[in-house]
Amino acid sequence: MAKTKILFMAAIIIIIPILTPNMYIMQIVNMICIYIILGTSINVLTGFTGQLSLGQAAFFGVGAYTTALLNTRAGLQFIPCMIGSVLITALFGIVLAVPALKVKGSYLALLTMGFGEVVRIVMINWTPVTNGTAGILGIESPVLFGFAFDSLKKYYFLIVAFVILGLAYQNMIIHTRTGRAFVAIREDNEAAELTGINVTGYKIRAFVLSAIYCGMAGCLYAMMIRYISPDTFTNNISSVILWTAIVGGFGTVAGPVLGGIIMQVLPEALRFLGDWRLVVYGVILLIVILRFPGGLYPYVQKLLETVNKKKAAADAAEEG
Amino acid sequence: MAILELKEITKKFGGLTAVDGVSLKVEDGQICALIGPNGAGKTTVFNMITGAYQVSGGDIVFNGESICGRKSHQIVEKGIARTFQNIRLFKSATVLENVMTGFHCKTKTGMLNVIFKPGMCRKEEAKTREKSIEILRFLGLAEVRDLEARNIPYGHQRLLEIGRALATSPKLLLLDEPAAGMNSQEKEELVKTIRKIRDAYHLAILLVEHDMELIMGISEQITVINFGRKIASGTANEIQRNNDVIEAYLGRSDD
Repeated sequence: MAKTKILFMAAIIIIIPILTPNMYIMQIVNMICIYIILGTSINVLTGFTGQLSLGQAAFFGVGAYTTALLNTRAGLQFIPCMIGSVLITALFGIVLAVPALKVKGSYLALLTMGFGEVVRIVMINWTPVTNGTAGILGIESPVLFGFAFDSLKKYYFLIVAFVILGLAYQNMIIHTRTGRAFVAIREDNEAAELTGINVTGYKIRAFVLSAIYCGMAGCLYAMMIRYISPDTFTNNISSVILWTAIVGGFGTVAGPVLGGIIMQVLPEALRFLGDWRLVVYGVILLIVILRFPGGLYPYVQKLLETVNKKKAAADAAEEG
Repeated sequence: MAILELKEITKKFGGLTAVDGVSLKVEDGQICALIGPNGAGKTTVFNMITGAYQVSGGDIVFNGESICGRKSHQIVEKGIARTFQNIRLFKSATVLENVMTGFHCKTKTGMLNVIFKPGMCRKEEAKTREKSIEILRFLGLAEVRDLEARNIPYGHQRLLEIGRALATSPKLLLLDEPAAGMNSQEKEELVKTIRKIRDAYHLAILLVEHDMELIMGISEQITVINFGRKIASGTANEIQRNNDVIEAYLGRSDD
């Protein structure tokens, strides 16, 4: 059963780029993958550990800028750029975690939002390094072991590899003591501490892990689009990241996959509505959270279970 | 040997002295009770033992070592676990996961081990699960292990909290009003369970409780506090005959 599932997933992953008719759609597919990683990042922090963040775009941006600078200024290739992005965002994770430990709830949301703004303003104004609002041009496509990921289709496989690794890690970690510590902190901070969990330490870990996911996504984004500017890392993007996890289902590993697809496909699919599309987009999202509290994935899961049960019952009836 | 010794501990909140020089000894394997009228400072004493409050004066010695100034999670690691007056479970986690979370300080897998030592990780996970199920079986909760903690009956939730505390392998278990909200039949069961826990896990138990019947039936040593001060200590019989205690609970007679 598990094997067929894996084969099925592998088949879907391989078929997607073959079926994709043009570069426009391929770009959307790749953005979905990047948002799955970003959705996973906020899922660690908010979904599992219960620390609401409205500043994820800052980590995403720091990751992207690190790669852009390492590549254009120092001429580094994909792997060192990726490592650099991960390390620097991890550092920013600690930087945000320290003040974040002192506040909770709406104050934490405001703090993280402010963090996002500060990072964006630094991107705009630190011209000698970031090149200001003009952004950084001429980032190279990655070349790995002599293979150039120079088209969107080739690049797709590189991103998918990171999505799989990211989700697999997430799936493993939540079934260890670390994952249980995260959930315990979300459920009851003080009871967690009095169950022997170093709450401070694990909150920092959650911030760092979340930042690392964003750093990876930032590196992948910078090398795909090959141009970055502060416009890409606004508060608006932070909310899209948050929505990706909310719509998909906070606290579920597969939630951000669903959320990533919906949040990227919906605005494109609604383009025919012209100026009204954002209104309709907003209304659809509102309906989703009102009708499906806890996100779509738990409902999809339930649906699949009932279908499977019915099938099993039907099979049993046939045999009997 | 005394497993826990409170030496003249004091807690001041600004100008208010909530606990004033209370001393108390819990012997290894003993069931002790801390009682007193509402607002006497019992929960404050608990909060000082578990490190939630810092003591303003005096010393707390656990297992021959001062634990003042330690963080709560370190104190749990040393071997003091507690339950709460108002149940505080990890509500949307399953019953089994709640107990498994208790094993946190007795296990080691870190975030990188998952990648670099998957074998060790899996082994530890299987062991944690097995030991947790053992605890659930002991408490009679094995059947409901896959339900979310918030969906099990109230009495079971109380037991589950004890189970989560037992998972940290404590040498001393603090129970904060374990009988709150229970009917007399459930209370009888609870008394049996508390004795069973002490015998099976070889630990000392200190409980705070309002229910006199339960306290008198179970405690080997009782300490009474009122207005933050210790007014008496001794066995159930001694306490019941102590005039100060009677006065604290029933008021002074006028003749």
